[in-house]
Amino acid sequence: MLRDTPNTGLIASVALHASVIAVAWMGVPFLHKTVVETPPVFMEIPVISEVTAAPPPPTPEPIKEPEPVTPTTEQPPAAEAPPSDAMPPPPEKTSPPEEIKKAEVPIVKPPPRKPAPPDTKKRDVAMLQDLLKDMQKNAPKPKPQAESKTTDTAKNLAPTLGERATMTEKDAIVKHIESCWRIDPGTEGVANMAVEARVFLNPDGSVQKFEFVDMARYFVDAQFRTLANSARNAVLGCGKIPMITPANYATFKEMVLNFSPQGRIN
Amino acid sequence: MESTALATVPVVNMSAWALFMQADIIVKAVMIVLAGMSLWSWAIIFDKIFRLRSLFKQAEQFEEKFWSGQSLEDLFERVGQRPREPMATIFTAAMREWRRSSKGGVPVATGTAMLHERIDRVMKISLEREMDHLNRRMIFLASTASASPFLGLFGTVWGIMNTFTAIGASSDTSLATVAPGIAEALFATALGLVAAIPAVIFYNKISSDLSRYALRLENFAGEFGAILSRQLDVKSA
Repeated sequence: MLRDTPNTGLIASVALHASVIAVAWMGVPFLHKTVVETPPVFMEIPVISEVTAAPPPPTPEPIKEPEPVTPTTEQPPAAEAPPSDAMPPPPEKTSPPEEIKKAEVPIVKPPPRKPAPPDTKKRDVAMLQDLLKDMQKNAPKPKPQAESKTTDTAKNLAPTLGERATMTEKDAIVKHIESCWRIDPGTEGVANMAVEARVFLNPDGSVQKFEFVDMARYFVDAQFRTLANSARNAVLGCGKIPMITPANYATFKEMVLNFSPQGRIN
Repeated sequence: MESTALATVPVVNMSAWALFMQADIIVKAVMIVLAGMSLWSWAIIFDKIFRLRSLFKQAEQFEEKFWSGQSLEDLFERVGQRPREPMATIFTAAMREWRRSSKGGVPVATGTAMLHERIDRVMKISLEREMDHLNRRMIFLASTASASPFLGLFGTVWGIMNTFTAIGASSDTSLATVAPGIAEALFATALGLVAAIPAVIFYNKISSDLSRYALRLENFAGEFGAILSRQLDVKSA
C-alpha cells in the first residue's frame, strides 16, 4: 500500500547532493562567461635562454639592406623566417611599393624624349645608355610586384600576430624591469627561489597595482620576503614602462612576472 | 638550504575536499554524520512532497467518485479489498464493518446505535493508522532541524580547540598557521547549517500539508458516518 523506504526520494536526494558537490567542485557554470578577459602575459625575469632575446635585432637589418639592391634572392627567406616579429617589417615593406612607383615614373617620361633629339651620336649613345638603364630598371620590376603580393599577405597576417605579445616587446619589457632589479645574492636559498607577481598597468605604462601571487609565503618566509621586496622595488621603482603603447596596452595591462634569481647568480 | 625554506611554508588549500581531509578525526566524523543527515533528510523531504502531492490528487479523484451518485456497494466492489490510498482505506473499513454487522445477524432494532458507534470507531482507527504511517520519519526531519547546528558547532569547537593546541605547541601565531585550522573548523558549522535550514523549512511545510490532509480525511469520515447513520435510521424505521 504505502512504501516503507523512500526510494525515489533517496534517489532524488542523492542526485541533489551530487549536483551540489559537483557545482562546489567545478564552480558555477556559465556565470562568468560574459566577461571576456585577456589572459595575463607571463614573463621570466631574467630571460633564461638568450635565444629568444638575441635573434630579433639582427633580422630587421638584412631586410633593410637587400630591398633596394637585389630584392629577389634575399627577400623571401626574410619574409618566411621571422613570423614572430611581424610588427617591425610592415613599415619597411610598405615603402618598396612607393619606390616602384617612383621607378615607374621615369619609364613613362623617356618616350616623349625619343622623337625630340636625333641630333648627335653622343646623344644617341647617351640615350641608349639611358634606355639600357631603363631596361635594367624594368627587368627587376615584375619581381618586386610579385614581392609586393607577398608583403600584402604579410600585412594580412600582421594584425593577427600583432594582437599577441611579440617576443621583442616582451623581451624589451623584461630587460627594462631587469635593469631596475637589485638582488642580494647573499640571501639564504635565494638561488632556488622564484617570486611570482601580478602587475596591472595603466595605459601610460605606469604601474596601477602590484601583488604577489603567493602572499602566504610572503608572510611566513623571511628570505622569500626579502626577494619579493626586491622584485617589488624593481617594478615600482622603475617608473613608467616606455614600451607600453596604446596598441599593445591590451595585451600587457595584466602581466605575471616570474622573478627568478637563478639565471643571475650563476 | 632550499628545503628548509620550503618546509616553513604551510600548504594552504582552501577547497572543501582539502578542508575535510585536513580535519581531525572527530571533526571528520561530525562532518560525515552531518552529510548523512543532510542526505537522509532530503530523501525524506522529496519522498513526502511527492507522496503528499499524489495523495491529494487521489483524494480528489476518490471524492469525485464518492459523490458521483453511484451506490456505495458498487464503489466498495470497485475499490476492492486492497485500497490504494488512505481515504479509500477508511471507506473500505467502514463498509466492511457495515456488511459484517448486517450479515452477521445482529438484530437491527437493538444494534443501530451500537453499529453507528462501531463504524465511527473503525473509521477513526483506520484514519489514525494511516496518518501515523504518513507521519513516519517526520521526527527525523524535526531532529535534524534542531540538532544539526549543535552538532556542527561541536565540530567547530573541537577543531578550534585543536588549532589552539597546535598554535601553543608551535608558538607561531601568524595568520597563515591559524587560518587553515579555523577554516576547517568553521566548515563543520557550515555543514550543520546546510543540513538544518532545508530541514526546518520543509518540516514546517510538510507538517502543515499533513495536517491539512488529516483534516480532509476526518471530514470525509464524518460525512460518510453521517450518510451511514441516516441509512441505518431509514432501515430501522
